[in-house]
Amino acid sequence: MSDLGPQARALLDAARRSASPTPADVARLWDRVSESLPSGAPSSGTATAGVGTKIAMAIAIVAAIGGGALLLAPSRSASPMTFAAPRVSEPPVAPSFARAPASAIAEQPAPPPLAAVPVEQLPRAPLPRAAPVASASPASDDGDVALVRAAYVALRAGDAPRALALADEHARRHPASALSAERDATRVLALCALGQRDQARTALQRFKKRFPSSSQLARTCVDDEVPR
Amino acid sequence: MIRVTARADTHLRMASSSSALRVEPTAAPRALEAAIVLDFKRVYEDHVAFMWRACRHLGVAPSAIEDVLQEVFLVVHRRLGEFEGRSSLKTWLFGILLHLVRNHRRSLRRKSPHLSSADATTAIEEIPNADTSGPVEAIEAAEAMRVLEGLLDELDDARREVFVLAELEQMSVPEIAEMLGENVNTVYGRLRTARQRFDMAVRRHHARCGLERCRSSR
Repeated sequence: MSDLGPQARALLDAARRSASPTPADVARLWDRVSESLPSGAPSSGTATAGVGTKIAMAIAIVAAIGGGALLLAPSRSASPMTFAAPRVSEPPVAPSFARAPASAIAEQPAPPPLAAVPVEQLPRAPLPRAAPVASASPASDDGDVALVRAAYVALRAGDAPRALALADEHARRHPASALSAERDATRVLALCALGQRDQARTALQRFKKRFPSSSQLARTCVDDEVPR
Repeated sequence: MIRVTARADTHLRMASSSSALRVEPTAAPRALEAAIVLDFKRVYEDHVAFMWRACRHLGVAPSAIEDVLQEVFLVVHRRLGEFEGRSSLKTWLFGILLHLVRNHRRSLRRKSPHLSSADATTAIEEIPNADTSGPVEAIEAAEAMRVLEGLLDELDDARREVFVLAELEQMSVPEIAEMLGENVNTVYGRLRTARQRFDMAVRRHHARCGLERCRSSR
């Protein structure tokens, strides 16, 4: 089974366009949230925290700075790789939060009836050619996942030659892998790290052609040379 | 107002002016100290679109999104003082969202075991028109969402979460691993399987939905 086929891609592209809120949605939700805030809490202000919490936060942030760059912006950073490294060495800790009372979630109203849509108005995509035979069952992936992960780990460790070798091996052994996008993105970044700009440019062009809607390679060494 | 002092004589990456985290220089006798202020409204403005989309793609019906997100942001407001910066703010927010969305879906399943998110159909008027330019596009978008939701329902929750973050929010595997508190290997495995199953489901859907069958089912 290859990466997502053109029908799946077309469906995802169409659905992605329709899921964002409108400005009216955002404003209406804000009104509901601010009206629900505890009395005395500033609706446009900030949450309060005790001294102990403030000190703990200060210590955590200073420690994080000592351990490396502290990224305060949302996760899409300006680093050259979208494989953003965790900012501290410890595993992420799931936040603790109170269970929302079940009554707070409103009952669902009856769903509206299905709207009739002519088939010719459905998103169109070319029919795939002979589909590749599905590879081994998900339970036994014959190293598919392990190789991609090893390539990523090598790249993060600064071992670009090994990352490239692993990516190439994965491409040989699993040419139709469902993780092809991740593998090919790692390959482009490894080529960049090795200073092989011509190969990186070719690989990036191939990546963009194969995965046009992917944003895995937000920044590469050859961005200026490959049209978006 | 939450103020956290941090030494800014290191290469601290400053948030942009539109970010929820503002750096305010304060007078200090020796090292420059920056006060980092977490502003709830700015957190809301910066992240509501992502939270809304994630809610939708994780299976919350359009009619329930505002209720769920209202709860999410109330929790965010209550807990904002506990955010320690050990993960990105977006990751922390998503953790809260995911917990409440899972509760919501469990609650729905208890009440209606056979309910799927595709059953709570997206009516045309519920489709945000920010990205559509006319009625045909709105109809296409509505139908795409309906089909997508039905196909996503065929994935188990764990794979759906990974798939949604990768394919609809375009996040990388390491980012997803951090968001979900899973190791990278697990996320790679789930994504691989999710893509295979989703692709097979789309092919089956298109094979079943021959011209005549699709027309007669509406």
